[in-house]
Amino acid sequence: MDLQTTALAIIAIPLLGSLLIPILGWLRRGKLTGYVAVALIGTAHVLTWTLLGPAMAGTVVSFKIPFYGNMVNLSLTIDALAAFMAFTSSLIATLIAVYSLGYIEHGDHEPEYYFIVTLFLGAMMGLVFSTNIIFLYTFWEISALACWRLIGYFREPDYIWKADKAFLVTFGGAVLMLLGFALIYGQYGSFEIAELKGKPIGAIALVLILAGIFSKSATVPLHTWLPDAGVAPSTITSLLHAAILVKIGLYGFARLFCNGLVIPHAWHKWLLVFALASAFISACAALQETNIKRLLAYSTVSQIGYTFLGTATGYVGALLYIMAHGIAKGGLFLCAGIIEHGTHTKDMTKMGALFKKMPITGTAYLICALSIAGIPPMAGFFAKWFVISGMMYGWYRIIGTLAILTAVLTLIYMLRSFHTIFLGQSRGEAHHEGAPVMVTVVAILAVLAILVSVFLPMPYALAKVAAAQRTIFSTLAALGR
Amino acid sequence: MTAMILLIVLPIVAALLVGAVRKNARLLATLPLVVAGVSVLGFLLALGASPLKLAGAFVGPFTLHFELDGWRLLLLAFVCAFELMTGIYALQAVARAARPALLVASLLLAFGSAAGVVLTSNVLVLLIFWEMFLLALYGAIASGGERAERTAFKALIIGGASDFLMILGLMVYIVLRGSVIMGAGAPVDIAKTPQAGLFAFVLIFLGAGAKAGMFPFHTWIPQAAEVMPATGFAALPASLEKILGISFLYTLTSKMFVLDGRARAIMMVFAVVTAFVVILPALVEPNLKRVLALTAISPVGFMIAGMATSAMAGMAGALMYMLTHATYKSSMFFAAGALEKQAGSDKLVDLRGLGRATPVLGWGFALAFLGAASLPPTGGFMAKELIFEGLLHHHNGVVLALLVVAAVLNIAVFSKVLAVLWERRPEVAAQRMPGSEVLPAFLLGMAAALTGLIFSLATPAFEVTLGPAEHGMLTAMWTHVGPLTGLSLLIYILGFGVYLTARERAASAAETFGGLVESPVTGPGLRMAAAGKLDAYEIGLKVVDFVTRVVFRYLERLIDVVVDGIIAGGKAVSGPALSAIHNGVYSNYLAWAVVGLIAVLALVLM
Repeated sequence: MDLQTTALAIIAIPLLGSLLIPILGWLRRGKLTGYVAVALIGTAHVLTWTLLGPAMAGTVVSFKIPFYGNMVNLSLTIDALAAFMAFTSSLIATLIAVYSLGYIEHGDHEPEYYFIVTLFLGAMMGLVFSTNIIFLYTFWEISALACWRLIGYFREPDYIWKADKAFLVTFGGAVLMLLGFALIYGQYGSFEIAELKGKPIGAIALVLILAGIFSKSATVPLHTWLPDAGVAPSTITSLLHAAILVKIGLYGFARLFCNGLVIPHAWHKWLLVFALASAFISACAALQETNIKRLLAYSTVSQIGYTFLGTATGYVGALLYIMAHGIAKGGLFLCAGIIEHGTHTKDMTKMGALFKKMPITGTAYLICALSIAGIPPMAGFFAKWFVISGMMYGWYRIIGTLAILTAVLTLIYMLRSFHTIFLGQSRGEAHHEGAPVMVTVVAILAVLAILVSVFLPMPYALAKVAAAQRTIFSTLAALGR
Repeated sequence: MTAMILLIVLPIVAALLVGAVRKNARLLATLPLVVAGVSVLGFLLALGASPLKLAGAFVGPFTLHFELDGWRLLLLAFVCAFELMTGIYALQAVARAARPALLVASLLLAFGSAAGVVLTSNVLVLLIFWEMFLLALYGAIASGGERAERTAFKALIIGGASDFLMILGLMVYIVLRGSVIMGAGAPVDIAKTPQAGLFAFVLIFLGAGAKAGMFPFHTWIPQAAEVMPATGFAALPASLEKILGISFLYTLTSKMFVLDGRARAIMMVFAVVTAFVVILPALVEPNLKRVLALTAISPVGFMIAGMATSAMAGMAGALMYMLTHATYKSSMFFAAGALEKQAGSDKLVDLRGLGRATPVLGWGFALAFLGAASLPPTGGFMAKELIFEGLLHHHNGVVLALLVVAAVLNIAVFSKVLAVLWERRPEVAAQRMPGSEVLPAFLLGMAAALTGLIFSLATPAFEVTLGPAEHGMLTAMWTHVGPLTGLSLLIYILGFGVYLTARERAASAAETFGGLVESPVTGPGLRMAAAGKLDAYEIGLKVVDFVTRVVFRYLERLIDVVVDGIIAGGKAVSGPALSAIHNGVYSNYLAWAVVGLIAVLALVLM
């Protein structure tokens, strides 16, 4: 199979394959849907492995499938950035799908759940390979629809309100982004990112597009839908935070502004300040939160701030951050799922001493928490190092210093959550470890949080190639570094 | 090369395998000794191979550079000796820990990462091993059970936060120097890079100082001594951690930076405060393990002062003090753990006369006391004289005077403890102690007494790192009698004098200095310290809580209210239609999705 066919298969298998799942539901084969979803997502992931070799070698393959004249083509590009994102997202999504086999037990709703999860991943895969803005936007919105339905999965009125909130914020941002795209088309006459490479973007279009990106990636002040989305099943929050949704915003930024349009230099420092403010404000919120899923959500908002910093000052670090954060945060949310199953609460103040009953979940939680906090030898440390060490020049040193102080806050809230949940005295009812499949998945993610460090040269090499393939340079490169 | 890798990798791999043997108590207890034995073997192999260099790529600046020279070999010898003693002590003591498997895993991880810190010459790889050591410390404290968890949290937060400061400093340092290899190229001259250089230096200094137990990062240490197993405390905070922290401080001040007056002044301030800050609490502390922990902090001030002089004498003194201190303090902690087992208590008042009743332990402690009091022929004597010489060389008379006072009070504290343990109490009958719990304290005590001899024999190792210019400096001091010898004598006389004077006013040795708590001068400060009101960590957490609460309530929540308001307004307009669609009926959602898709396609095609 050549690279073009592989890329198409990676998109089509989950996207079109997801349609099989409701059919199985109608045929009253609901129990099978989970396995079909795992097979579809897993196949897409296995196929991403075949992209890694060529991507590491620096191969870039672009092709177009004409769709509507010259304006809208299904333009796909297989490069290091796309391969990195596709591999990381599908890996975590596969593990989450496997975990779901033990987590989702709602009979009639199973087909719906697996259908939308698979569609969600399909949209993500479509997005990472798309280099036509209209298709990028289309996949972007498919993910928004999937996200909306999944957040309101439990159907309680409050949950539906929160699902609507998530949809409206991200959709509102996306509409503004679409207007920004229209402005770009008006200026340059193309939706093809390849044709927009190196061209400066106007201030209004930039602000509109950033509104879309920041709403999707839950960046302050467009972030409040993400903590509220904690009402969704833990598998879904894990998908949103670790594998797909917030990463879409980041990916969009990287694809549009690191491999395409050029942001005027005057904007660079404001973007950094914005990202840092987002990281700091949400870290403060995480320190005050007692609901485990909301705490983890604030943590995601904070870490996304770091990744945005990285896109400007340490591109390799930003990509490694996406991988390290995805694995660790995926693990944390899945641990939260096991904890919630066992304790029937999300309130950490009603937990305590769970380590005795849930030793594997507790160990996995600690490892993932330390990775998020950036403690070596966990993968998060290396990612954080490469992101922040890029800021040690000129006034950027102030941003770097504040980023480090925010990292201290991260360490405090992450460790405090572990102690509140797993150590100390029991403050709730008797508990038990999760189902074997669930515990296995969190253990795998915890091991991965460490193993990524051991095998770091591989993702690092891929990220380096992605950095080399950028068409515009980072903020610091613009400064002459 | 194999030996070097063995020293690092074997303990770490063994730590990872602890889970598999956690239910076999005997195997679990034996594991540290087996690993320590193999490590000693590895060390002996490395002895023949020194000097040695190993280099390999990993990612970016994280290159795998390891080096073995005479100085590192000496450090490794001490590390291996502590590992071996810990392994022996752990044979019986591990079973007493609330979480024995966690204790063993933490000890092993600490062994491997300590060897890594000593052997690597890449400052970033050192950082990784350093953090692994921090995790080991966290685990070792938490192995003390539920009552130790809060202290474990505190230690990790203090260690982690100070390490983040160091990371920031290293980032700037690497930019300034352009190399991550310690000792490669010219060090960063702070005078030539006045802002960035000083900024980087201070941050790294705080990180390294925190590891060594410097003020204000020291407050977890006495608490840890009380709640964590003695095995863990003797191996980590009392010995290995000090060696790692101080030896890195030495690298920092001699190989990474050229200090200027400001950097030295900052170091001196921290040195003096560290030397004094816990002396008074140590004098009145009724718990033996806490006394030992408090007195582990003051010497760090002496060592920092020695480094800050940038003089060969001061630096040599600091390094010798580091090794002497680690030796006598781990001996004392092993002894304290065994004595606590005997008495069922770690209170001084319950331990009266136990040193006399268990002579091997008592003599071990007494020999360690020689090192603690810096009496000749211990390395402590050499170390303090050299530090004082360095201070004189740099005309730091005020610092010298203050350190002399601190040294006097330190001797008073140790005299009190020794007097308590050797108090005549005929009614005290000791139980038979297993040899594995007695031997490490005695052997290390003996080693502490002989550190002067060891350092004289190891002069070439010191010269590797200090430079040949000071050839003969270390051995000459045994025959040279000068003003500093007189100063040392004065310290001994005053130290014992202070103790004896206070003893006369107290009912028993254990109650000596008790009056300080009631004194209107020292009492309020001591009571505030005991209540944790002067603890920088507690103050810091309160500040963090206040700031984050303000940001959360008055900014983040406000944003949420505004966003919710906008959405609610929008929903008030479009709500009825949305509610009708969002009714929980699956086919309706599908229909809406299809309509949406058609709408998007229509938009695209138009």
